[in-house]
Amino acid sequence: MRWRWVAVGSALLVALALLWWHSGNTSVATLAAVVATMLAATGPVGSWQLSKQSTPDIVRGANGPWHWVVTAAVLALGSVAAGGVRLLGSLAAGPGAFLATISVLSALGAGIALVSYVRARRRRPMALSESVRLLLATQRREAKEHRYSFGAHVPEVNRIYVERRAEIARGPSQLDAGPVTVRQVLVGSRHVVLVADAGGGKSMLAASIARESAAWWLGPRRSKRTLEAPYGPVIATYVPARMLAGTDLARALAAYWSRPGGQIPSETFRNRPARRVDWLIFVDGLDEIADADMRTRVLHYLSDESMRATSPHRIVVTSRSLPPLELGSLGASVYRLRPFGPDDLRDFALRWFSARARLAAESIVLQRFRKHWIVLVNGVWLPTLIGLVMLFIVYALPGVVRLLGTLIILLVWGAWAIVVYLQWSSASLTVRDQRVIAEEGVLTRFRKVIPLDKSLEVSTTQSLLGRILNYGLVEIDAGDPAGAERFDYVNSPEILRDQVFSLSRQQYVEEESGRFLALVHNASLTAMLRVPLLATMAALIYEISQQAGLPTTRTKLYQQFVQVLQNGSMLGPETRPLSAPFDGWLLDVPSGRPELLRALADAQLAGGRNLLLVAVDWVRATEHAGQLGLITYPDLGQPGEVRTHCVVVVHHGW
Amino acid sequence: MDGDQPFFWHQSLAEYVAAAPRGKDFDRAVWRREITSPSTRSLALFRLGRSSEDPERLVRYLRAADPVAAGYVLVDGVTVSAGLRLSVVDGLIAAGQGDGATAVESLTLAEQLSQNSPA
Repeated sequence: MRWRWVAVGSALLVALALLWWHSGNTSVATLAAVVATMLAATGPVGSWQLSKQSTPDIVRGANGPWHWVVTAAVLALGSVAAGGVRLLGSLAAGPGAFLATISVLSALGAGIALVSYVRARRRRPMALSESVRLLLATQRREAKEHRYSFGAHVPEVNRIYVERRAEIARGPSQLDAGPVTVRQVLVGSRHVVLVADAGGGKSMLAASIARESAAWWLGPRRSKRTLEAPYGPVIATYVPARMLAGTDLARALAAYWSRPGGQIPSETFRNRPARRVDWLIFVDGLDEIADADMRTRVLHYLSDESMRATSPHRIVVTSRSLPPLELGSLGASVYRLRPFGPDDLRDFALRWFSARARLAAESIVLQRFRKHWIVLVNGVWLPTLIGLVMLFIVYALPGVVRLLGTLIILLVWGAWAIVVYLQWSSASLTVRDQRVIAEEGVLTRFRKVIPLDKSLEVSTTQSLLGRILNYGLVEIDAGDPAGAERFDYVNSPEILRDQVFSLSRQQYVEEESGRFLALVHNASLTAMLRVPLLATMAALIYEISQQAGLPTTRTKLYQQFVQVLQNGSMLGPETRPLSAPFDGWLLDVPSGRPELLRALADAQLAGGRNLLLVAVDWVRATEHAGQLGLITYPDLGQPGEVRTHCVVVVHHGW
Repeated sequence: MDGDQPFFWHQSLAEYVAAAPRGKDFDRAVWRREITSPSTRSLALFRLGRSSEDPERLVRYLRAADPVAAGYVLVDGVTVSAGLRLSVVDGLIAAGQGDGATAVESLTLAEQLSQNSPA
């Protein structure tokens, strides 16, 4: 709040200036008015800049524009004061003109500050409560991560997400009978059930929409109406359906999205997030509640909630297919997510390999590279030396000849310098999407285009001086028999090299996608890879197996994928959980005790039992009973979530 | 609260693990029940994939008894002879032309199977 004190100080100075003027001390009054104006102009802006650096994003959104209002007010006051002093007083010409100038400048500054205020206000994010902003920030940060750990690096959700289409399965629909986008479904219906097969991308869909929504609401959209938000006037979020067992939406959401040091109260979700804005809540994976009784209770609760007239919740339930009577009890239209078609699979492959290539190309800024200024030095140092020697000689000659000689030397040197400069300024390398363009020459123009439609070798060479002054030689080898293209004295050669290399990755993306899709086709997998999870598994296995081939059945795909997961779990101690020793032992199970893993799988599919207790019982009944000595039941874990590269995730509630 | 408990990060992984063969028995009656229900179909397909059951024989049996189930087995990538595959597709198209409850499902499966034939 430093700016407030600056504003108060400015106002005091203006008042003092008026007082001094009234008492006849016009020179001091003028000085005070000048200082007040300068303070008013610089203080708040500087303070605002400082606050931008130190204030978290979430809080900053609410305050910014008011600094401009204060700036404008103080400047306007200064302007009136200075103008008043000038008009009312009988000052000498000097101070009078000075005050008039201050008055005009202050008025101008006030106008600029007001315009800045209007612009800042238009860019200001929507006024939301702190807990809603915290939720959105968490969603934006985390929703790009996969819900699952794949045992190997997988591109972020938003990079490989393919927009889905859906078609009505049951219930009334105001939409066309044919496939429509999920966006259309969500905008056109208050409550929806989205059904898809195993791995059909339900969770990915929920996460992508939540992230998109969070990005919009946190973005500079103050001037836009809420109707323009993605999916209409709603804020999207999601919660796993299993977390609704024995609780309500608000508590489940609060528990799911609260983080250590960032608790979100359940009240946040009981009220509307903003005026005339609803929550769009994805209840993800209803089918994962294996206990039919519990599922029925959750369905009844959701049904009641969806029928409550004053509810701030719009509900989207995602699930695998369930018996018609179950999903029908919600009273919402049931849509089936369309599986990937061949075009979707191709889109997925392009996104996947683009994301891989983009790892190195994220910082691409297409730009023009000039030659380094050392070229100017190289071009003029010798003529300069010669010119100096000649000037020294000419200096010994008599009057007129000396003058004439000096003029000629300077003219020749100047002309030479201009030519060198023009040559330097006309030479450039421009990096565009598909090509690099080299240009040089003033009178005769040389232009060479190097297409980036194939893989290129790009190298740089820098001398010691080049490293110090940041220039060097760039060679681009496109496989031309004539040899590599050489560009010397390039400014920031490493940036140029990285950009050219990254852009040539476009070709890599096309080639890799084509190879992947060909293998998918050869393995007769096109019909099977119609869901994002399986497509992701196949892409991972394709990369890990060095493009050797893909399994031909879903079971074999899972077999290889589980192997990837288990290898990932053996990456090292840093991937191990940090909580109780028993958890750590449990997570070794996939490679060491398949029978326990199977017991856990049976229990998860049957539902109703805490899997950790199942594991404890199993351990009690086997030779591993000694492991129980390591745990202090029921304090099995610590707060937080522990993810591993195994098929089992140990989850501790926040 | 989700409580302190481990879980498989994707239901299909639990199904894959649970489908590990136990003994040499493949109970066809149980399997038929599982493949018919949408909620246990994935488990049934894993069971078949991880068993020593002859898929050719099973699909031949299903072709007449339950063409939709036969379609799901083939979409899962199970390889059978070209003639049998073709007859399953024909059966699905025939079922799709009727007005039974599985008409749309049958046509969808036939469309999927027509997208790529075995190499």
